Amino acid sequence: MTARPHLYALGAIVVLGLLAAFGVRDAVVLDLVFTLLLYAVLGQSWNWISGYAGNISFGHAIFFGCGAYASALCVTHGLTPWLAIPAGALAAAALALVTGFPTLGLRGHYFSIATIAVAALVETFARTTPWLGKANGFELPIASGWAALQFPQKGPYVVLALALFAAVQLATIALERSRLGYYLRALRANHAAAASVGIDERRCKLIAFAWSATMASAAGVLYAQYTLFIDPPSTLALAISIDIALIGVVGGIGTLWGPAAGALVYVVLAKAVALRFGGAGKGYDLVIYGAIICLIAALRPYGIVGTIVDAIRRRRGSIAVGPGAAAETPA
Amino acid sequence: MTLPVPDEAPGMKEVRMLARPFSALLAAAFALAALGDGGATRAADVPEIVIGSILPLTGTLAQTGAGLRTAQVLAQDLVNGHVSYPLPLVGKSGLPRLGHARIRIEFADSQGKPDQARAAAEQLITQQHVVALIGTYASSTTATASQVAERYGIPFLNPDSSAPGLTSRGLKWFFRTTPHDGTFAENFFQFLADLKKTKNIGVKRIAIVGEDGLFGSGASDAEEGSAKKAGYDVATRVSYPATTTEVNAEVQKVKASSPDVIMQASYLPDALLFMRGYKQQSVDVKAILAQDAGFIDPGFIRTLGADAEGVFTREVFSLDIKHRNQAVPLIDQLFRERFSGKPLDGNTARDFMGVLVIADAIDRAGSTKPDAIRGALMKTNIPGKLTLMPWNRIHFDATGQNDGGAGIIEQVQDGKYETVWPFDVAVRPAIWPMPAWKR
Repeated sequence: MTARPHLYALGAIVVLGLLAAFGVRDAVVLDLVFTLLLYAVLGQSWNWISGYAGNISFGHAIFFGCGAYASALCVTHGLTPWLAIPAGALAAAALALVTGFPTLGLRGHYFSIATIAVAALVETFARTTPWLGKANGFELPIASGWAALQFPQKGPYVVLALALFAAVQLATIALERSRLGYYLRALRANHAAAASVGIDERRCKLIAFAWSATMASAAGVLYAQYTLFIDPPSTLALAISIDIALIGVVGGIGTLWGPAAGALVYVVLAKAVALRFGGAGKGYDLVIYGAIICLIAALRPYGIVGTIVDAIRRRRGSIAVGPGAAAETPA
Repeated sequence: MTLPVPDEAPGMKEVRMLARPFSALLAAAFALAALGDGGATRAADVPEIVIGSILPLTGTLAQTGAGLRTAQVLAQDLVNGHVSYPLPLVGKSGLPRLGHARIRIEFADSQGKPDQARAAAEQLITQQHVVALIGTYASSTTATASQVAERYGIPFLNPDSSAPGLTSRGLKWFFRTTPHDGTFAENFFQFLADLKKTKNIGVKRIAIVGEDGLFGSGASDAEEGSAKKAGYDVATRVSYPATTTEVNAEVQKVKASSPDVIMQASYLPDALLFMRGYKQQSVDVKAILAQDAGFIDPGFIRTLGADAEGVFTREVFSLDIKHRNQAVPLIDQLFRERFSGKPLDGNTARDFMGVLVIADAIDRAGSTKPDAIRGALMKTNIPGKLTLMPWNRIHFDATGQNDGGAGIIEQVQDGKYETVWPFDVAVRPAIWPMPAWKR
């Protein structure tokens, strides 16, 4: 399939996002849009290693945390937060390589277990290390302007998040059409057959994992500059890793638009519903969200986008194999 | 009598039906009368002042949040009511300087998460147009919510977060009534100094033990700072994860440092582990001074029984404060009625007072303009006797911190927590040193 419809869709989202960034004054709506885009980026980042490469990560928060901590360290040491983008990316990619090198060539669930273990280590390390702010975390001093990457209004944040989202989607479109993308799909479909024709599984997956970590780190920088406060529970905790994985799974694992769809469900339910019903103190929002996750898991294991892709294929009369070739279940 | 709803549309329809045989003029006159009446109703309606409150109403802190919400609503109702208590602004049927305007607290959920607290603050300011914010219990959520208030220039009153750094951020719109961890640590040393005057307590070496989370590490840092300032030796400092299941090595480290006093910040399960460890390894010290949390949990004395005897713990509040302000048992009674019999505690009492402080400031401002409220907050000076707290007064310094805050120290005596310091609210003398372990 050609990339054109995807590019049109992305263009439409960018236009809508820009209209929101410059046209909407309501801080709550803009906050929703920003969060949506940020989670879509995190979901896509997770999708690279867990969807396309087929190795489920339960520790993605630490890459997000790399960016957030890089940002906080830069700002509190008087450096520009722009430096945090490459610095966080390097740290995240290095962490991904260290985690992935011994485990990405192995069969079974070693990789998933390793991600949980490394995430727990990183969280404890941050929580007890003085120069990483220990349990207190960091509060970023209030500033304004592009140099400080901080704004009193939300419009510029939405523009930045939109740019990051577009970059990540474009990279994913490129991945789907690249040699690496085909290798990953081949490995996921049948790793033995793929290996027999000379595809280096560990190398391919390490590249995907490093890029995945880099994207999550960029989202972390943006988050820190937006929230202006980071600590281990809000950036490194297992709960964040699970949220990221949920977004990927709910939206449709291994699909281009799955993470965005998952983020939409996550944010609209978990955030808009929380603001509306959460004040009652009864946790309705969490109950509703949990019920929907259960429903999707039970009825539509390939996620929202996986189900749609499947339906389109069926209508076109092509052979319907589960979610289709675009979204095999990970091995 | 006026129309029940100041919306003229349904009324107009009836008016037209009635007026059909008469002239249209009559109908118009009738409608105008109705309109005028509606207007009169609105003017006679007591105006309402909306204060935003951000609390952890869902998530792991939801139970605490429910108590805080109950306390704040109770304070709101007492301000709007006419029954008087020895508390600021209570029983004046609203805010007298604003035409007895009633206050209403609009709540928003932080879920105990910094980004949710931020969104909640934005929602309250931009959509509910609150004149001030109060909250948010957890220090991390207070950090983000107060930054939003700072951006929008809305006064933020924090009654209940104890991370010292919150008031050293140079914020203009942030005010904190509760003492912070630094004050509580200083209280330990004031207590030791006060004891020195009355007894020869001979304390030199202090062991500092704390879990490695926000609470424990913050408390330990403050204790270490205060100890050095007061000229004590820090014999050892032990940090451990609160989720630990055994603490033998930590207890050994404490014992090896042969301290006179242990200062400890732990949650309940780890507090119990340490207490059993101290007993097993016969760590005899003159006193264990604990930072509330696990040491004031109802499970502490229940589980340890006689082994809990003599332990000191700081508290932010005690019903013993009734000796200073007789409102304490009355408010406690009202709170129990609304919160299924649970007593007023340090958190709920602080949040109750927080609402009174912000309401008092709005009243003194005589205006709902943010600048005026901020100005009034800066001039706040409420004597300690008019609060539910053991504080000297409520008065904000240049950083927005209440400089009259203080804690109390309790000791487990005969299976109960008894207030032993400060001496003017103490109900029993301190037993010093605490009893040695019986083998």
